[in-house]
Amino acid sequence: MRAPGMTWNRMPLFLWSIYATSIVQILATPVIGITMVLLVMERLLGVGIFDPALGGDPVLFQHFFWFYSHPAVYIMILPAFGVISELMGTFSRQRVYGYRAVALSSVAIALLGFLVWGHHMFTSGQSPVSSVVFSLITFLIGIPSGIKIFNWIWTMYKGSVWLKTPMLYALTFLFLFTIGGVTGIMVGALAVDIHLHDTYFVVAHFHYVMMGGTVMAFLGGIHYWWPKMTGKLYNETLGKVSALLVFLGFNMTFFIQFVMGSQGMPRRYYDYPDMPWLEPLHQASTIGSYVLGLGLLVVLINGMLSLRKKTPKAPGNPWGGATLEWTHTTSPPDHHNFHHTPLVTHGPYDYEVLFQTSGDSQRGAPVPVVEVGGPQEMDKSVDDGTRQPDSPSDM
Amino acid sequence: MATSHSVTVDDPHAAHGGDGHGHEEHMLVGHDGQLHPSRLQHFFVSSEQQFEASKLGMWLFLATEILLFGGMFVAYGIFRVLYPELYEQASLQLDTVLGAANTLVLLLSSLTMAWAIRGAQMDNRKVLVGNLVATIVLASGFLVVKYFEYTHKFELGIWPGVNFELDEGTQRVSDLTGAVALTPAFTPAGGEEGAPEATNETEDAEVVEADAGALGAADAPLAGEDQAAPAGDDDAVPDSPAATGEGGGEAAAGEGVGAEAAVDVTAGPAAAANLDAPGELASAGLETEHGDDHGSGHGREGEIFSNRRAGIFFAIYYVMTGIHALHIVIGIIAIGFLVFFAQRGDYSSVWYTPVENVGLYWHIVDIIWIFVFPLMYLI
Repeated sequence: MRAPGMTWNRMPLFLWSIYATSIVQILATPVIGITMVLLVMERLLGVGIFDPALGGDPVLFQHFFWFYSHPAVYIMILPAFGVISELMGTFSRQRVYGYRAVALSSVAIALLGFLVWGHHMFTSGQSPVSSVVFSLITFLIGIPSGIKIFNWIWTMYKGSVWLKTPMLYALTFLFLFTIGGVTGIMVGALAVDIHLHDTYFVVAHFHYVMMGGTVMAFLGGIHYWWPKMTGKLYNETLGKVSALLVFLGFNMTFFIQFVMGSQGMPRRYYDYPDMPWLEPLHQASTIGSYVLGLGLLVVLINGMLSLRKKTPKAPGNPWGGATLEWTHTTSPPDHHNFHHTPLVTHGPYDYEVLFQTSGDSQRGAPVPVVEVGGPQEMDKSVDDGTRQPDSPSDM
Repeated sequence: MATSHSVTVDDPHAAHGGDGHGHEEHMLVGHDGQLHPSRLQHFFVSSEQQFEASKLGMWLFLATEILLFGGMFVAYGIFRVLYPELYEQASLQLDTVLGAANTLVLLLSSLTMAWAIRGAQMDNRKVLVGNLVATIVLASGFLVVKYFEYTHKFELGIWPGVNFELDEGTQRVSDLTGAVALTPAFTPAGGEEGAPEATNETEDAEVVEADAGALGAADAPLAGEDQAAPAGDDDAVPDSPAATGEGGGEAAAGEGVGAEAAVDVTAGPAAAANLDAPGELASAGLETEHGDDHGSGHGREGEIFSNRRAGIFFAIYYVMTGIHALHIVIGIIAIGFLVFFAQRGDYSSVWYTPVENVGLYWHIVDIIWIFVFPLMYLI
């Protein structure tokens, strides 16, 4: 199943992030599972676990809930990190800077993500000591996240940045997720959180991280892999228009909510009679959401238009990507994905090798699919020791 | 213990003794000592890799199992901190002898399971099947003991949840509404300053008055905090003869049941005390309820019968042991399949992955019980 020569440090960063995600999924989900079982027991049999009327402890439910639900946001954001790494490499024509640091920071986030659930409960009456500890560990999450952000920026530095739609979304991600992360540090600070808890500030923070992070990376990724999935290229102009609309609409919707939240606008309230000056802000936020919705609609229309018969077929490697799905197979991939099992001899972002093989290093030109591999070539390179032998310890 | 034995045998013919199922070698083992292609998935390089991958998957599953039970252990710990005396009293209702017997049974079954894996490694089908069957028998024995434990408690009125009713006059948990007298000492935000202290006072008051043996002591917080609370049972006793008569009758019936239970199940002194307590109540009739249990020297065994929150301990008890018993049942089914396939001769020293994995599962179920037993029964 695994291509020969595909070692840990030759895996695309997207796979690293998926690996980190699966750790979180496997270890966090059973806890929400047992929480649901206990909840069902409480509802059906009336055993007192969470309901204070039955002698239970509702804060216990909060602990159980957040023990799953905080890691759950890392389940959402970690694959997004992987997608952004792919986009940064491909559209900067540059090896992703600090490959190992980016890869391991995903794992670090996955593990640290298990230790911060209490920062959702600063106002729940948990002990001040645990609040301080949770606050501290929450700050620590900023380190691996910062490693990623800085490495992505450094990947673009002196690269050959190609502003196609996926890259526009990737840049949007960088901008929005950084804001989301920095405001995350703000609400992670104990004293500030008491003031900001349950306000629009938290709503805005959450959307900057989850929508500005996960959804932007999703949109970038879906544009990036669209030709590979469907064999059709989407319309680039429509793609850029959608990226612009989404960027403007998103910021208009949610940046205002930072302002409103810091002024004390509580979440889940439809009425604010004591704060009439917030009304224009709410209205602006609503208009922003329409713009955002329009942008997303353009994405949908663009995708559907591209699937028409008369749209020309996409080349195997329209972006000049260096990972196996671009270099070794057609768009969309054939049955069984690869004609020959690809042989991996270098890291996933080796653009020099790619340009040498294809003889075309011009930016923007579609790079033909390289046909390497095949039984003879594979055997040769096994002999010269460039690939590591597969063994169970590799797993 | 099984991990040190590699699946691959350099010379399969040497490894297979003359135990009368030589034909399987040709079915399961290829000419190079690897698994026959029908057993080796195409995406694995070797049978070792396949075995190790399969086991890694099993370990991941076991990790999720530990987290699943971890949630319940946390709930146990939280409530133990919230209601320490309650746990002390309520755990006395559990039969330590039966619990210890079950622990022994499970430990033995782990031994037979490991022995079965050894049998597979040695290509000894008799040892394999015999030990698997022994494991099933022991596991069923565990469930039988569990059945007697559960039914004994049901006879005493210790049901899970809303039907929990330990004694005549003791309110069912379902009768209590609101946070009346049941607010945990640990109050979430909102109560800010006053609430935790108030709750503590409530608890103290309850304990003190119960010690004094005063009538209706335990419903003082009820009456104080919520007049509309369904404290009717207790209040009605002194006033209405009808209610009293009913109450006494119930208590007498309870005594009869309790007597049977004590005879049937070899219960310890705790059960004997339980038996006495309703008797006392019946004779004491309308005068006393909670207080008399205590006053007549039955100590903590009696006191638990007046503790409305005892349901919380037994809620955790039933949920934890119930889900554990469910795992035992699943284990019995899985081992049943193993017996079927082992009897057919599917497993050999070259391929016994299912035996190994079910063995791992069985050990984890055993280990979880090793933690449940002292936490529930001993401390």
